[in-house]
Amino acid sequence: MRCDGERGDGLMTYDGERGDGLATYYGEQWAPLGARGFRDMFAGTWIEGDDPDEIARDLGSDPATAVRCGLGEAMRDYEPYAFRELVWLGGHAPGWSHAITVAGPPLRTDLLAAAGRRFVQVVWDAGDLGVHDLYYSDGVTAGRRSPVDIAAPGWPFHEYAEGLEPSRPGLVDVFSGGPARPVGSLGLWLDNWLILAGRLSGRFIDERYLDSPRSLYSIPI
Amino acid sequence: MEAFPEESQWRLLTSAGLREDFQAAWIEGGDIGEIAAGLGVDPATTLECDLATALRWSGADACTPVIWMGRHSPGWTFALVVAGSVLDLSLPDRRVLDLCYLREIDEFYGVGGLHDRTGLGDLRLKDQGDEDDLDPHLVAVGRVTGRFIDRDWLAERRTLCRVPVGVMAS
Repeated sequence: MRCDGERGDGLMTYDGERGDGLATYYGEQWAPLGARGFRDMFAGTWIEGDDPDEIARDLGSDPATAVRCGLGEAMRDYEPYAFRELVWLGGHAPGWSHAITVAGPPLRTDLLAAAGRRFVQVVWDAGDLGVHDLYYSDGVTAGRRSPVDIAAPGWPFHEYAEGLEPSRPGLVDVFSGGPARPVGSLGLWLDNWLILAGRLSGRFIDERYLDSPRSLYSIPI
Repeated sequence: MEAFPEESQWRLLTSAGLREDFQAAWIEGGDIGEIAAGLGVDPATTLECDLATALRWSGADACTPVIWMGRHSPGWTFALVVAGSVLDLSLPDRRVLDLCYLREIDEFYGVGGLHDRTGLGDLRLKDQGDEDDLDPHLVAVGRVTGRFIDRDWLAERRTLCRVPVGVMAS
């Protein structure tokens, strides 16, 4: 069963302001990613640390083999769940790096947790669940969070979930066969995770972000 | 061979990461290449890896099932469905012990006909049940195939491969 649907109110904006001065992006976080070709699968991992090479080493990759390139060039190798692993990884915001899986399964998070790094991992998967649980670590404790529990207290990144709800009035879900689409509840959950990741790292996804050159790292499986 | 394993078979599998649906088959024969061909595996793209690595593919597109298969014991090959909707792992002219557990509805489908076999009567096998019925069936499979699941078994490398839709022999 897949859930597809249309938002009843036709709006994709988020109301509410954070009072802490953190830059916020009230809009659709998924749109720029979908437009770059991630419709079948997107696995993004926001990782604490300023040195992408060091993060790559934590993941078992040899940074000497990485190739500097833009996202468009990296996406020529796009192959969800390939039997090989490529990640486009680079600096994101002060103190944070971001890894986008280009080929293979979602990035291993156990290695990041073992390295004591804070991270969140957002996975969209049209051929399977749609929106996955958020995998995270606060640097000490690793866990996973269901998108329906985003607003409930009792997890380390609850403070970044302010105003993010798992459902909204007027949200219509239609169940049908075929691949999952990022609309209705699935669209809301996906944007919620992306907004949370943006708040945590201090930077949201936008075109300029996606146009920056990063490095494509190969990770031996 | 002991009548019972040292550790709960299902607990070993769940602690190894099999926490969602479980669909697996023990297929008679050690000729893994022939069995893979019979199942319709794409031989062009495979990956040798352990179970924990194989399970990273559990979110792969269900339209092209991913299985992890390899040697179980002398004369028996193991195949696990890592991703994909319920897949027919039966092969003509071979004995296949296949189990299926659907987590969401807590329904278990055991190996048909196994309860009639001598040497398994003490396990009181039911063809259908819930999660509690998995362990007795896994013990039965261990007795029939001559090997229980243990930590060595879990650490062994087998082959991750894809079964393109419409290629299944049966």
